[in-house]
Amino acid sequence: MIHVTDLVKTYPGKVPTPALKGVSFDINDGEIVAIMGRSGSGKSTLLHQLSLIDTPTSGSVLIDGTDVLRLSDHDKTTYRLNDLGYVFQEYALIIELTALENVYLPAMSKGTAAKIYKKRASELLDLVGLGDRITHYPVELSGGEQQRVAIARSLINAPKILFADEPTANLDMTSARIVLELFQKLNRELKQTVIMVTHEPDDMRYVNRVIWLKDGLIEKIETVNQQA
Amino acid sequence: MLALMIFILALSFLDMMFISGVLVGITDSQMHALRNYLSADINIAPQQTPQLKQYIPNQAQLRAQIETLPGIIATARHYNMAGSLSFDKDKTGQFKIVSGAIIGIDPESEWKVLTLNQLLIRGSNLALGDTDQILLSSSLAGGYGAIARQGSDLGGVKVGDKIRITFANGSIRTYNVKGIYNDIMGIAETFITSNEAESILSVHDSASHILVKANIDRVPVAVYESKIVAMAPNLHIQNYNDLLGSFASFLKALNFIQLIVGAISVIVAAITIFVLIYVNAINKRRQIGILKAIGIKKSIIVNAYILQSFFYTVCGVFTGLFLVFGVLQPLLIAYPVPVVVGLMNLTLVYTPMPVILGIISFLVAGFFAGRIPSNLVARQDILKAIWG
Ligand SMILES: Nc1ncnc2c1ncn2[C@@H]1O[C@H](COP(=O)(O)OP(=O)(O)OP(=O)(O)O)[C@@H](O)[C@H]1O
Ligand SMILES: [Mg+2]
Repeated sequence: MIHVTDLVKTYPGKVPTPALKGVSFDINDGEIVAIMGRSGSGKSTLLHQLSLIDTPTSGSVLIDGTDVLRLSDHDKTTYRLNDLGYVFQEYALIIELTALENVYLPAMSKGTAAKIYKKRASELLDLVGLGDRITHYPVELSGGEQQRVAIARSLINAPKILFADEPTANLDMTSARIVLELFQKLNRELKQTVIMVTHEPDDMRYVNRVIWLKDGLIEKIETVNQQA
Repeated sequence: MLALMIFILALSFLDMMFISGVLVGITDSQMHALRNYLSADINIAPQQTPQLKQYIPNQAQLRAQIETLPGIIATARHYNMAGSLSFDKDKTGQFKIVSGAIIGIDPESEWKVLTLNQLLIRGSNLALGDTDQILLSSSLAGGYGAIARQGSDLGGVKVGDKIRITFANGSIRTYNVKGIYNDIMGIAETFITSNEAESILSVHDSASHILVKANIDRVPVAVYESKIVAMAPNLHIQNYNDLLGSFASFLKALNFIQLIVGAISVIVAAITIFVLIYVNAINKRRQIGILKAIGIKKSIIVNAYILQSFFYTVCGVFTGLFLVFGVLQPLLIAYPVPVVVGLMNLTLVYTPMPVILGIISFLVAGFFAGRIPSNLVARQDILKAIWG
């Protein structure tokens, strides 16, 4: 359960930019939620604050009762490693590592036994449909395949929440559908909580609710499919 | 790129090693030459206080006593005299005259302490009964390419020529030149036998100096010195360090040069690695940002770069060591490069300690040159790193 209260983010600078002007909402465990809105409305900014990649100006974020914004930098890093998964828009794999190595990297640095994380990594690559590509390097994979490897990587430490910022923006329609169906499948079968940013109205059919942002404020929260 | 970097590291290591090896080589061979041809290890002079004496009495007994000490290799005595040498080269009555030191020696024991006999270039060395013969310095004889004595040599003396010597006490005697030695040290001394010296000076069983050669590889010279002092407390005893004092300060200057060259090499190496790692890390800024975003600790990222830097350093050091010990050192032995013709060749001499210190300082430099730049990049804000 994620409980967001009055979240404000103003980017400092000569002319400070207020990107989030105070947003509050709750997200339930096992929910799949889309954040939508026009370009510049603050979608990425919101995701960065929730995933602890950035520090908000004020407000609070409680994840399962933990006030995550109050954690030290070190503990935030550990929290990201253990409890959060993040899928970037593109090019987020380490080019020197194979698909399998990319996937198990976060488990390795967590200190999991090699036998366990290698097995789990290849299971996850199976899950995202890339069981036959485990020794491929990123350059030997298509954009959609790379994105699925990134998803597998984000799942290796069994995160509480999976974040994705426009994960399909650079993919063709078929690849995009595969990725979105994968999120839906993870959500339905593993009860994975997913929060993703998108600007594709079509994507609404894969999610339970949509948080609409406008100029750094919540315009409305719309339920599109009941949570299973 | 990588090979070039390792090559630069190897060269800066080589630079450090080469200069220090050459300097140690020079000082080593200089010290060696000075001890072998000039000072010996310990020099015993006559009593100075309470009353200055001219000679050491009963020298045979004292030397025999010293030679019983373990580690003493040999002893010798000198009669130090002065005189002028005259040579009539063209038998015209036109004498060329030079003055210089004339030393009375016991040939057999002399060569065991000071090995001037090894520098013989013409004729043969003095022997025990050669009272009418002398051993002449090439710089006095003239014409042997020796270090030039300012305008004063005898104009080309050959073995068998006759030299007339006027001693400081007025005696005049004529000698046969038995041998000529290569005067690389520029000492310009003329040697006669000690029997001859005693007949000129009217003394017996004495010495102006006693010279001692000892095995100083294991036992420091001061140990021998103090034992000899205990035997002959009233004599004036010095070791080669006392005698070569100005040379010692020259050695200190060389050590300082060595230190500076070493420091510069280490700095060059550190900058090379720093740039390499920094460029590398900047190129991987986005990846570093992503690693941090997915929860990889900064220390793991920085350690990876330190490891990389160590790899370069170790490769550089090993290449450098190979170039020094595998290529240059054997090459200089096979094809000697003279520093001073006839006296000294370019040699690379190493003791383990400076080599180990050099390697350690390179590794330490490698550590910081890997850590600082990668830390600079990895410290950056995640969002800045990913999106610039
Ligand atoms: N690092 C930054 N410094 C200053 N202003 C920023 C920064 N990042 C974003 N902004 C500003 O904050 C506002 C919200 O940006 P954000 O990236 O969250 O929008 P978005 O909804 O994700 O847009 P898009 O759909 O184009 O990705 C924009 O006005 C943007 O210019
Ligand atoms: Mg965005």
